[in-house]
Amino acid sequence: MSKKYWKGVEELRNDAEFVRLKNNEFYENLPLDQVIEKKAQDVNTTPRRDFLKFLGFSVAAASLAACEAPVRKTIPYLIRPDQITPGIANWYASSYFDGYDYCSVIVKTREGRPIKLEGNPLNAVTKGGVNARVQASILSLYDDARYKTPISGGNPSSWEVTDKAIIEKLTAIAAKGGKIRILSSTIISPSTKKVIADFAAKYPTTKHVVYDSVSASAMRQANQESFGLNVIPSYNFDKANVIVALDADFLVNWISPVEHARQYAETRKLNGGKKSMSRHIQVESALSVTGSNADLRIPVKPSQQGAVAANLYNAVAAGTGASAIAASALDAETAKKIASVAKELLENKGKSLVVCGVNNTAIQNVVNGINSLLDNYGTTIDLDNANHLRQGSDTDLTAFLDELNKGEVAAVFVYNSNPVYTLPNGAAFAQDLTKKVELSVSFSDRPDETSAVCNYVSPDHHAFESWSDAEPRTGIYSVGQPTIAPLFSTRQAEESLLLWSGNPTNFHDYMAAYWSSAIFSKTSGSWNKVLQDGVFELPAAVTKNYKTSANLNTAAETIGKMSASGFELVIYEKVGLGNGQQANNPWLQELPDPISKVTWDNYIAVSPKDAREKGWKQGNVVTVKAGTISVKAPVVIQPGQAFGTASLAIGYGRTVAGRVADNRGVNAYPFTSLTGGNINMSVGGVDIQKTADEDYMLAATQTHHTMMGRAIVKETSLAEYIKDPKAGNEDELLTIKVGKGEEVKKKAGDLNLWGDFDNGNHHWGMSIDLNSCIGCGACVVACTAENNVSVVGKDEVNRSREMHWIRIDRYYSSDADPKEGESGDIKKMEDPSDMPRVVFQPVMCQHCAHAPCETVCPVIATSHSSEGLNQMTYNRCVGTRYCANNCPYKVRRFNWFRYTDNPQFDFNMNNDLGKMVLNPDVVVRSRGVMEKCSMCVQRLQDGKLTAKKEGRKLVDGEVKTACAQSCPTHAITFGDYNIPDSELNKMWNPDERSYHLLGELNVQPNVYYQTKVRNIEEGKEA
Amino acid sequence: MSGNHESEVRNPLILGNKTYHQMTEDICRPIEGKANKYWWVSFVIAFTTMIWGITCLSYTIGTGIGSWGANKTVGWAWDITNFVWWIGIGHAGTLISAILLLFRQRWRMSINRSAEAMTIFAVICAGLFPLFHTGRPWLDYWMLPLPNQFGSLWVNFNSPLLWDVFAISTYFSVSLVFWYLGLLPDLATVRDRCVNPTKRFIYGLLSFGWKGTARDWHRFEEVSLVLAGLSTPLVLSVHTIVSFDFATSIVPGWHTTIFRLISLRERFSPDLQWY
Repeated sequence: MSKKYWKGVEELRNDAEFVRLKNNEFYENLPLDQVIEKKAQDVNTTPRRDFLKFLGFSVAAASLAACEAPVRKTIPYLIRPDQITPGIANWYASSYFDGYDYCSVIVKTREGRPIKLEGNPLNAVTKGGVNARVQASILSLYDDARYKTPISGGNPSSWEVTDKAIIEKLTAIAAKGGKIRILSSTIISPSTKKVIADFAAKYPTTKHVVYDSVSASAMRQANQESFGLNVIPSYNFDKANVIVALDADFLVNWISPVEHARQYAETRKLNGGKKSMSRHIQVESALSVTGSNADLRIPVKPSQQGAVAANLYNAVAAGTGASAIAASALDAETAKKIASVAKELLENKGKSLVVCGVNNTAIQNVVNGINSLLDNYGTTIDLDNANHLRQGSDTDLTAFLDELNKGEVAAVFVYNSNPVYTLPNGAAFAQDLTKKVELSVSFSDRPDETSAVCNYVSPDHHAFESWSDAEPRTGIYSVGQPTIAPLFSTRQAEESLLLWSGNPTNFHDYMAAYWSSAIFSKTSGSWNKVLQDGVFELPAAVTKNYKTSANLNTAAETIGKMSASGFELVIYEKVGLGNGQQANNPWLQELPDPISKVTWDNYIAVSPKDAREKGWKQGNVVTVKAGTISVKAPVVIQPGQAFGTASLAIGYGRTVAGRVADNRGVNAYPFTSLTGGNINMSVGGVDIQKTADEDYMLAATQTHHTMMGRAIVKETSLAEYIKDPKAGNEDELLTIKVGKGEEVKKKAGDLNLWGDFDNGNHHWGMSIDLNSCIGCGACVVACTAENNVSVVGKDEVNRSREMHWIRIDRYYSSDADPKEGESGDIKKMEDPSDMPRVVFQPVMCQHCAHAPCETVCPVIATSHSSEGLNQMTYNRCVGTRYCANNCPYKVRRFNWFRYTDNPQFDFNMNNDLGKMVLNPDVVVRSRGVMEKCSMCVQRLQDGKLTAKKEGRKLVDGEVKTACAQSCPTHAITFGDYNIPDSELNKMWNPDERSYHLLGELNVQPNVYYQTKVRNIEEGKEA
Repeated sequence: MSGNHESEVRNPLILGNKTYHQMTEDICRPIEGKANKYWWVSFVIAFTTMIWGITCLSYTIGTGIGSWGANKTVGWAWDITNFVWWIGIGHAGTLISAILLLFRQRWRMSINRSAEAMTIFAVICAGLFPLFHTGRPWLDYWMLPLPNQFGSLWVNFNSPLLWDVFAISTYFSVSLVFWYLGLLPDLATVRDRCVNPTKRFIYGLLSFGWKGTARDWHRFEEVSLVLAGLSTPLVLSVHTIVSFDFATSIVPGWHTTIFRLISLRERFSPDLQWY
């Protein structure tokens, strides 16, 4: 007998009422009806209106609920601002200097947003070049870590409150005569210097202390001792036939790298039948970008640098008849090389250049001595038109730190520098600053280690929100103008200082007044013209020849005392982060190191020989200990590193910078030391011990090192090139069978399966001169900025999913061991030698005429344009990735995930502020589609439209791709094959250096390369 | 098809002196009776696996194909491996069924149904991988030459991947028809034994009005032969086309004519796949 279940007694009894209700879906009547009925009785309302209201509400509610896409508001201009046409870019000349990098730039703005920087070709110093860090600074403008208001005691505050408090304290301190110190990095702005002078006039106890995180103070001191001039000279690398650099990474970091790189590249170009080039010898410990471009590289330990300089001096002195100085002996091999270097220098007296990046006065004095003997002053070195980019004085810094430690300083203003992070003993500085100083103010525009411990933060504008002027070299000026209204409640540091010194003027007026009184009084000029051009020049002084008057024997004595035992640690700057100021910039973090190709980290680089001996493997975590300083970092085995040395880059290990940079890598600044009056960038007696820690994951974009016997980068020596311009560029010939037993050899390009395209109007192409490419990475960042390339983060880079449209491949080459060749050990071919040569090769989409990617796409998402471009239709792409598989150059990039608005990729595209940098002309790619270099098709289109509107044809060089535009050495030439005398056609010469990458595949690329030529005689020197 | 007559020189294929009725009873028991314990265990395992598979695929569609771990030089990994593997499995089924039919091997009757079913489901599995491995699987239908309103967009007949689409869909349809054709007499048997009118109606539809007449059997055999004749070269061509995915590309290591042979070898021994 089954049981009966019921919900209620009514159901059990089957009441009539229950049955009636059960038949209704709703137990009660819908309240809606009641409302309408009730209201209907009210004479003042009508049911129709209510009905419409309800209807309207429900339609709105239903459609809102149905909307999945977030509502994005676009607000049209009610009154269009002057000069802004939506869709048309405005360009403003401006200047960038952050105390470390200087560039005169042109800022591209779209609808009021600066989105891209290009070099200002009018500027005599940078001449249109922009390096990777300056290129990336546009993103630092949109960093959401920036201060949004002034900070008082660690809390957001208002300007009124902060100003009042600071002025009160300043007045009190000044009244009792307390010392006020303004600590800044180099200031090249004459107006800012005047502001500081005004401030010092109001508060007479003020002193301005200048120091550089990467100091060149020893050079200024040495020039003072040698020539009585406390300056850093301007160098003319372009006038030098022989360049010797002693630990100076002058192409990417040292003092004025953009300028040096351009000058250097001019001496290396072999266009138009030129058969000579400069010879470059690099003496260094860590393999730098500059060193990897050298013809001869002499690896030495940091402690030997002085001995090298002294020996070189003696060798040169022997040739000129000057007296020798004391010099400790070098090992036989190095001594032999130094002797031959001296010979070459002597052969090029007056046309040679010796530069030295060691921050040591004695060594710098000896180097000045060498240049004096060689009569280089007045030709390759210009002391009369000094370079102003490094003005820091280590002596002043020492004195200031001493005062601070003694508690004598009452107020410290920190401008454009981050001493807590960058000083050798930043922790002690932080302690003194918090405990012994009454008033500490930081002008930092974003949180840093120093601003975090200051009483007040008076956030400065970003460079592109401010007015500025700059004098990078005596008599050469550039000005900067704001390109966007301030994003946050910030105020230009100069205005703050002026306000606190009782002059509430705006800095633009102040600057204009200064210019008309101080600069236009020398040479007439117009302020508006200066703003428009961004540059202004006074006539240059005549350069004179100088002879050193320093006592070189004293210097030699000091050098003789320099010694170090055990392992030596070199502290160096990376191309990406430099001194670490822009560490929170994801573009720079993801820029692969040109040499190691590692992204997102710094590491201990050791030579393969040392690694073998000590049993270190790539990624092993080691403890590096020098004195009381100790860090844990992963090992990178770096061919080219001098034996017995390790190197560690500064710029990493930030703790207060923002979520991108915080705790990434380790801070190397504590290993530097302020001994002997100068900041020392190396330390001896370092103990490196392997730890039991798990191996550290380093995200490198290139994990193979050699070309494995293939001719990817074609290379030859100058001697061979003079004999035969096609040296090193031999064609790969294919053997074709014709008839019985007959064979002919043919060039791959002569065999065609398909017909040619008809590129009637334009036929775009590109030439890449491997002889000019220095591997600096400026093009990579420029491309990222121009084409909205996503940042994917360390994990994804480690999975080989970086999105850069252009990459710079680095290969090591060394003379192959014939024995290894015989045994056919392929794996051994991948091991570079301990001291290899290095070649760089930028690779982007080669825009093949017979593109393998185009034939395999099932949906024709990638196709050939009538202008020779291989184009990608994102809308049509379903993401089979067949094209990327079939690309022989591996330049196609796939959107594995959604890289925008995705917390997993919390970089600039995950917040509205960071997205302001996006170029509206380039679509942001969605998940699941393939992307790649488009040869900046948006720029081509823009150029074509401009020409069309003006009713003319495009002129050669009128449009350039972002990479070609930004290249400081003009290694990339973009152009049109259909213009007969275009630069591109002039460069194309397959009988000399031009070749197609992997030409044997006959995919007929529209990009070609030029053989790299080194100024060496093969076999003559090892 | 086999009569009561058994060859005198070899052992009978069916032992135990069963009558046709007994055989019919044996064959229909799994359908007409209740599922036993083993069936339920297998079903639960298979169902759980399917739910897990659906979960994983939903995750893939939701987050992105990046979750499969491929990268920029290895654009395809498990997706293509599994695709080729399942295609190989599928081919083994058709091989057994169609080639044995052409060679008139009567013992195939004991396994052809399961072999053909294996083909069908293996091809479905194979097809799933290329479908879901794309970056935007919801647009996969763009790979079919469908008339559309996107403009003059059409598929690229140069692409081996498109050949794949055709090869697999052809192979799938032929195998499906071949398999279903073999089912017809059995579906009719089930129909005839049905007591429940609904079931009878459904099986009646499924069996396409099979009456078991000599004409039916005649046509059945003719069509079977035609389909077997069709699917045998298809086996050769489909795997060849799959190997074209690799062989026609210019990537070193892939750009080689040996792929076709490797694929063929796989077909005969799918267990040895992925060399």
